Amino acid sequence: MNTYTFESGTKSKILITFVIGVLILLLGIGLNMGKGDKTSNHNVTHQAEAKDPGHDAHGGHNADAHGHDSHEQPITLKAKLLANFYSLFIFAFYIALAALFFISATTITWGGWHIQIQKIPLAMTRNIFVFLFILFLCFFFFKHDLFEWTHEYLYDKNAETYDPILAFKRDYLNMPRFWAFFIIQVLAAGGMSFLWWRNMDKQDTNPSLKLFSQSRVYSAVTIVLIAFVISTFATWDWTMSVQPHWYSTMWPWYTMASGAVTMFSIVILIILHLKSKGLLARVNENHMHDIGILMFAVSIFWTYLYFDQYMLIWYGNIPEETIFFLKRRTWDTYGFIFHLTVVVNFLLPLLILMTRKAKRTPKVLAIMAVIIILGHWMDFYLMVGPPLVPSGGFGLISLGALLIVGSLFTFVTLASLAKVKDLESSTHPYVKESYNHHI
Amino acid sequence: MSNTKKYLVGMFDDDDVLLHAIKNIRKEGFKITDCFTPFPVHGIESAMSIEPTRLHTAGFMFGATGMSVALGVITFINAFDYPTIFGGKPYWALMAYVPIVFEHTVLYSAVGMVIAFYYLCKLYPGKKPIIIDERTTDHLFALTFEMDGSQDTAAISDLLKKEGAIEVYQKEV
Repeated sequence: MNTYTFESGTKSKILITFVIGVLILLLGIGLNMGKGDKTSNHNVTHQAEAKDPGHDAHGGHNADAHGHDSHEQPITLKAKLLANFYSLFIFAFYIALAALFFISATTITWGGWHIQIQKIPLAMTRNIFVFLFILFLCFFFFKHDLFEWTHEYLYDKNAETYDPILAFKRDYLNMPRFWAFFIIQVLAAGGMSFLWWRNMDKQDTNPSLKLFSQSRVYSAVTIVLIAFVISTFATWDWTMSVQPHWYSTMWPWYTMASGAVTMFSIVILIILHLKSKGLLARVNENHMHDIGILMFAVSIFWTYLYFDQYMLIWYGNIPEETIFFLKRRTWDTYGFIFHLTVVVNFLLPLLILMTRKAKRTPKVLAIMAVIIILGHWMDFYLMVGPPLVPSGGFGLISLGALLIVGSLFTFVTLASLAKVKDLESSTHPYVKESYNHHI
Repeated sequence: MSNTKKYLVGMFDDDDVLLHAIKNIRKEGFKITDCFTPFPVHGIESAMSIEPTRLHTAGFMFGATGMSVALGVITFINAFDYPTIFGGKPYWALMAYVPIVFEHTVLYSAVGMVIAFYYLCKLYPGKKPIIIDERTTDHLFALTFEMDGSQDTAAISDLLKKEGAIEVYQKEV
């Protein structure tokens, strides 16, 4: 009874969620097409502005506070779909990457409390392969829709569309470099999650202290790779370069914190699911308390980075930087979800998860987990959505996309969890510490 | 005349024995005044039924006070008393205040909690420590019972010896 079986009941629930997602998505597309005439007029003006070269890149976009930058694309259905799905794919990849970081960080610090539940983040790391592949398809087919800097006309000195800032940044922002880094990131993230999976698999069937020391080596390598190779450059390449004129030094941290807090929320939900199946009998409120603490702490950490980025940009008041918030803060486009993210991702975890009792009550944790997942979904949408769909594209399509990508993520996670031979890691050298964990 | 109190002291040399003794003595209905250990013993709070501290609630209150004070003062100065334009920012520039308000919250809650801790523990600088038995600071564990006449000391003595106390004596401190 130490393995998880992916029952058909659970599978059909995920399938139903997927189908509901598709239906909501179709409804959203239908409604969007209905009002297509209204927005098309908009598009023309936007396009006209976009073609005005003097408007761009000389700090001129400070003036238009209503979120149309020069390098925006016409608001099409394609852009809306792309913004929603692309942000969710990145979101899912970062959750899986945070899971890989979590098992590495806890192993290298001689962590013992999490041993019983470490197979859940391990199963989540399998999503790295799935979503890296999907992201590859996105980059391959939609690179011109996603990244403005891929257009050749920006670099033609004689053309009206010449963009001196992007031409200056071209040493970094170019496609060969992008693909080279992508291959390195795939090798690093995929390779480490493969090695971790193999190591844990061996520890289940044929436990030895040598494998444990090996896992500590893997932890060190994984943390260094995530910090200096995967997370940093991936955020610069995949999300920050969607608005290539804008830059922020807080960005990789901020993205990673967002992924990490969602990862803890999903771990809580999966623990509750496994406990409802009678598994993980020795995981009690002490373990939940620890994950609750991490959820609380990383939420505060996220707010710290979020606010730092906001305040530095506010203080500096450089047009190139402030455009990021001008696009998101206006009430007629993204203002509502922009302000909602602060409430949902900061105030609610701060006030609700502050007490010891809340962190030891599974129901409160589960509700907070769902709220945090939704909050960070909006946060990830705000990272890439507004430059792609400046007039506001958050609605039914987003909800449908969330259900579709979420059911895919859940399916991959639970299917991988079913392949784990020893769910509790009962042969791990530190498992007793986890059994007797008491705080 | 004197402020001293009489205590019945049972000394133990093992923390497991001590934990069992506490449980059994409490089961018999006797009231343990205090327990002295050379190191923190896991599970002793629940065995002694010590209520979880409410110090962090005090910390929250102090933090909220610090936040209000900082926000109030800085708002009064920058927005009403001496409004000055800095870098084209509004008088009441909340973004710039957040770090200061945060620091004040931390300062008030930290200092306030130290003071509250001293108050709750009845500690103050220069207080003369009351030590029941000096060996509790090194290798022995002590259970004390205040002898105010409400409990049967002879029965407690017998029970302590039965539970594995290496030494039982009375002391006035």
